[in-house]
This record gives sequence, structure tokens and C-alpha cells, in this order.
Amino acid sequence: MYGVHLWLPKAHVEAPVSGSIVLAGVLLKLGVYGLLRFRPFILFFLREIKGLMVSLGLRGGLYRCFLCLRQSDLKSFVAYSSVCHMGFGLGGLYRGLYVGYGGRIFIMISHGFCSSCLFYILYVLYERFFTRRGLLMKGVGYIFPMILLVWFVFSALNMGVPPSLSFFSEVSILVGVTGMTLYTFIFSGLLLLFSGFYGIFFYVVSCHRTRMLGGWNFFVGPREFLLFYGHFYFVIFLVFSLDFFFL
Amino acid sequence: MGLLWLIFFFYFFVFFYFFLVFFFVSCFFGGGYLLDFFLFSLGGLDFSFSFLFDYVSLGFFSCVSFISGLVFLYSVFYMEGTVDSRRFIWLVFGFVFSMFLLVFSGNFFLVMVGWDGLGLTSFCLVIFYSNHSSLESGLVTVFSNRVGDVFFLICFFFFFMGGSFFFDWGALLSRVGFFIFLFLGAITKRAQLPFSAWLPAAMAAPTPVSSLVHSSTLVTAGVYVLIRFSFIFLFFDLIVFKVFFLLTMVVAGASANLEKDFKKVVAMSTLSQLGMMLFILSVGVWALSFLHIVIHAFFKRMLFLSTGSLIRHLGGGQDSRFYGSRVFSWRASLFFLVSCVCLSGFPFYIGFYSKDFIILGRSLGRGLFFYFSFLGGCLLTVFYSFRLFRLGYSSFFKGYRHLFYAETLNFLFPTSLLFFKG
Repeated sequence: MYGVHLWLPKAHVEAPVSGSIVLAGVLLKLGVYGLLRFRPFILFFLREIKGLMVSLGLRGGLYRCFLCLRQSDLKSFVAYSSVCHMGFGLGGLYRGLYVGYGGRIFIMISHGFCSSCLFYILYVLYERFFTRRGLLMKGVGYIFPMILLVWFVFSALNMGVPPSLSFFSEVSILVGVTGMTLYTFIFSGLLLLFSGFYGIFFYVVSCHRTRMLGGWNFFVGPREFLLFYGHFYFVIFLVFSLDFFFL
Repeated sequence: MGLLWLIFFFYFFVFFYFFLVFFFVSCFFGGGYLLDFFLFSLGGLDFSFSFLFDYVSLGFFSCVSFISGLVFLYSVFYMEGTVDSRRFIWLVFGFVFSMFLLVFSGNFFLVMVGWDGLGLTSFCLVIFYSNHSSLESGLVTVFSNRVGDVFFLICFFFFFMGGSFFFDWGALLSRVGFFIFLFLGAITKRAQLPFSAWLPAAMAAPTPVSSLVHSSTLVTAGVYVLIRFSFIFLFFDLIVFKVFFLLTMVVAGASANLEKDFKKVVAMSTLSQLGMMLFILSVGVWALSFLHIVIHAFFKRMLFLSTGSLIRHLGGGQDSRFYGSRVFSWRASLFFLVSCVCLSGFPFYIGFYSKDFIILGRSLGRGLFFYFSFLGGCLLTVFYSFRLFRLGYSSFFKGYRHLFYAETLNFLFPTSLLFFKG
């Protein structure tokens, strides 16, 4: 959550890949799970805390978006983007509508798969190039065309491109949040706008331009692609079974 | 190998075209079909993807698939010798596919799928030549498209308040807010005046793509969505938007008369045509606007194909001060001339029929300001289309030619098909 999020990029940057995948995919979701469990209490105190929490989520998410555009370390980039998503979901939850609640669950799941796969891609590249700087990794796409594809797909999923779970989560949170005041209307729109911007930026900063860096072991094997596909499958095809969460 | 794929895609799209025409005839006499794929329901609302087949969508997509089939064939001619031609083909395929989703969309979710897909694949195609200037123009393109996406996402709120995501429920809503956001989203993709910067910038893409973008897919996607929601213009007959459209038309026409970059002149001409179509739409006649889209797609496509061959012929430069190819082949110049003539609406060419209707029927009775600025826009169209021809084909090449090439069948066949359409 914005304000007490400062440990997250530091922990991600220092953690090994499995640590950061678990951190993004599981640990962040534990807090959200707690909030979902305590939803009756939240609804009880909703009138007092609604304005504070929604504005904290939306505005904090927006400021993290701005910060994302200035990151050079791609791993802390992904970490800040997850703070931004969590903030958006927080706004959806504290709005108190059922749609926002559902969107909070969706964004939890989709973001768990998306960001953990982004961390894994960064790990695969780190294995080859020994760096995570966006400036140094320019032109990765010309060495690994398939990484280019996977990278593009996942940065697009991270910004919420339609036939995926993240799109539905964004829509349902947006629907829940926007009706509150004009303030939330503007800020959630800006948040979505800038999350799109940094998704594009994330792709461009590393995959565009000609190659700058040499490395060794240019082989990307089936192990990597199985992992990519495993993440991709859940983000795309879980859409068809979302009724499962609302039985 | 790549050639085989291309031929496959080409035949795929042409067969698809004939299939659609067949289906179109049956739908025209028998109504339309709505296919609905239910996903889940949340908050009392069904989230679903639905496809709508009626004569508007089928007729439009038969045009799109015909043109994109020709683009695949043409890109053999244009992209030969490029490094990543296979990636290029798949990107164009994704582009056409998301156009397919957009055209056949029955509710607003599928509109968003096609809409975002078009934005992202067009971004990938614009930055295809990975250098700095193409990156700049690609970022301008994708950011302004993203602004349009956000406007469309906000429309979901109004749909939610209305109770369903299907198109017709927009009429039940008929709120000012819904109208404004839908409208702003559509004109970012349509590149109307406040958001028009990306359209000339997107000219950094390879020529087959920019022809596809300009003639039948990306910019007409916005007008297609507005045609679907054309009942909205009956509720909100606001004069501000009409002024914006006319302003786009006149400003784009004027800047097409002064632009140096050859491809950007063509882009500006598209911009002014778009302003014209949207003006017709806002006056309230969606059928004429639809007719003009389809016809405009054909001749603008031909214009782009011959422009591409010219660029290829003159060694890849786009600066029109060095242009001039009187000795260049008569066929390309004939195609170019015919499409320019169509653009300016010369009698008995295909551009004449739609444009003449529009000028006759639609601009009268709305006040003298609209009438004269509309006619001024059309006059500017004539000016810049003949300026294009003079720039391209009137004198000898003034630069240093380092590339010789011959027209292959891959160029001649698509262009001549479009020529007979014109």
C-alpha cells in the first residue's frame, strides 16, 4: 500500500528470482486476502474510512506510475508497477460495491501471474547478460525474437489488454470506483492512462533499438517457455471460469 | 517459405471476402445474427463476448478483407530484402484479426478487444524499423491511442449504470457523459483535431502497413464505432463537434498543400477525408458516411500502393523536393493519377458518387458557415491531390539514384484490381 510500500522494491531488487516470484505472486496477496476476509468489518466502518482509503489507493497508485517511468532497474520497475496495481485494487475494495470486490479478487490473481512472469523474464535475461539495467539491455529482441514476443505480451497483459483477466479486473474496479466522486473519476482515468504508458515504456526501453550488449548462452530452452506458457495460460483462460469465484 | 505463407494469407483473405459477400446478401434480406459467448456474471451484470453479423459489419469487413489480402501480396513486393519479414507478416495478420474482432463486435467488451489490439499491433508495426525516429512516432501513436482506450474504459461505467453492455442500451442511457467519453475515445482513434498529431507521425511504418492503417483499418475503426452508435447523434446535436470536424478537414487540407514529406501529404489527405466523413455522420446520415468509408478505402489504398512503389523506386526517401519520375513506368503513374482523380471526386470515377451525394445533400440547410467551409475543404482536396501528382510524377528525379528495380507482378496485380474497382 502506498506509504508503507517502500520495502517492496528494495526486497525485490535484492531477492533471488524464486524469492521475488513468491513475493509478488503469494506474499503480496496475503494482505489482500486478509482484507477480503475482513470485508464485513470494512463494510461496517465503510463510511468513516472510504474516502481516505480510496484516495490513498488511487492517488498512491498514480504517483507510483510516475515513479515507474523513471526507473532504470527493471526489477524495481516491476515492483513499483505491482504497488500501483495493488493501490488501484485497494480503491476498488474500499469503495464498498460488490463489483469492486470482485475486481479486487481478479486483479489479485491476474497480477500474481503477470508480475511473477515479468520477474522470471528478467531473470532469464539476467542469466544471459548479467544486468538488469534497461539502458544496457537495449536490443534484446534482436538476439531473442521469442523473448521479444513474450515480453511484449506480458507487458501488454500488465497494462490490461482485453481478452485477459487483468482487463476484466480493471474494468470492474473502474466501474466500482468511478461513480463515487468526480475526483475518483479523474484519478482512476489518469491511473489507467499512466499504467498503459509505463507498460509501453517497459517494452520499449529494453527491446527497441539495436543491440548494445554481448553475452553468452543465447539459447532459450523449453524450460523457460514452459514457465512462460504456464503464466500465460492462467491469465488468458481463467476468464472463462471466473464464475468459480462467485458461487 | 515466406512467400508461401504470404500466398496462403492472400488466398485466405480473398476467400474470406467472397464468403462474406455471400453472407452479406443473405443477411441483407434476412436480418442479422447475434452470437453471444457468456463469460461470467458479477454484480448482477453479464460479462460476455458477442459477435454481431449484419449487413453493415459484413459489408465493411468484406471490404477490409479484400484490401488486406491485397496488402499481403503487395508486401512481398515491398518488404523483400528486409530482415524480419516473417515477424512483419504475423503482425499484419494480428492487425487484421483485431480489426475483424472490432467490426463484428456485438457488445462493448469485444469492441475493447479489437480496439486495444489495433492500438498495440499498430504500435509494433510503426516501430518496425527500429530506429529513433520510428520510435518517436510509434510512441506518439500508442500514447494517443491509449488516451482513447481510457475514454472507452470510462464508457464502461455508463454501460454498467445502464445495465447491459450491448450496443442498443446506449440509447436507453443517453447521458451526456457517455456521449462525451465515447466520442472523445472515437476521435482519438479517428485522429480528429485535438488528437490528430499521431496520424502523420505513424507514417514511419512500412508503406503496406500505413496504407492498411489509412485506408481501411485503424482510422476507420473509430468511425465504425461511431456508426454503430450513430443514434447518439440524434440526441446530442451539438454544434461544437461539427465545427471541430470541419476545422480538421480544412486545416488538414491546408497543411497537405504545404507539407514537404511526400507520405505525410497523403496522410494529411486521409485526415481531411476523415473530417469530412465525421461531419456527415454528425449531421445524421450514417449511411452516406459508411458508403464514403468503403469507397475511400479502395482509392486511398491504390494511392498508397503507388506511393509505395514510387518510394521504392526513388531509393527510400520521402522528401518530395527530390521527387519526380517522369520516366518512371506509365502503369504506376496511371494508377496514381486515377486515385488522385477519385480523391478529388472527378465525375464518373468511384469517388464521385459518394462525394457528390454528400456535397449535394448534406451541407445545405445547416447555415452558410458550414456550407462554405465544407466546400472550401473539398476545394483544398482537389488542390492537394493534383499537387501530389505534380510532385511525384512531373519532372525528373533530382537526387542520386542508387537503386534500380523492376515492377513485379506482386505490385501490378493488387493495384490493377483496385484500379478496376475505381
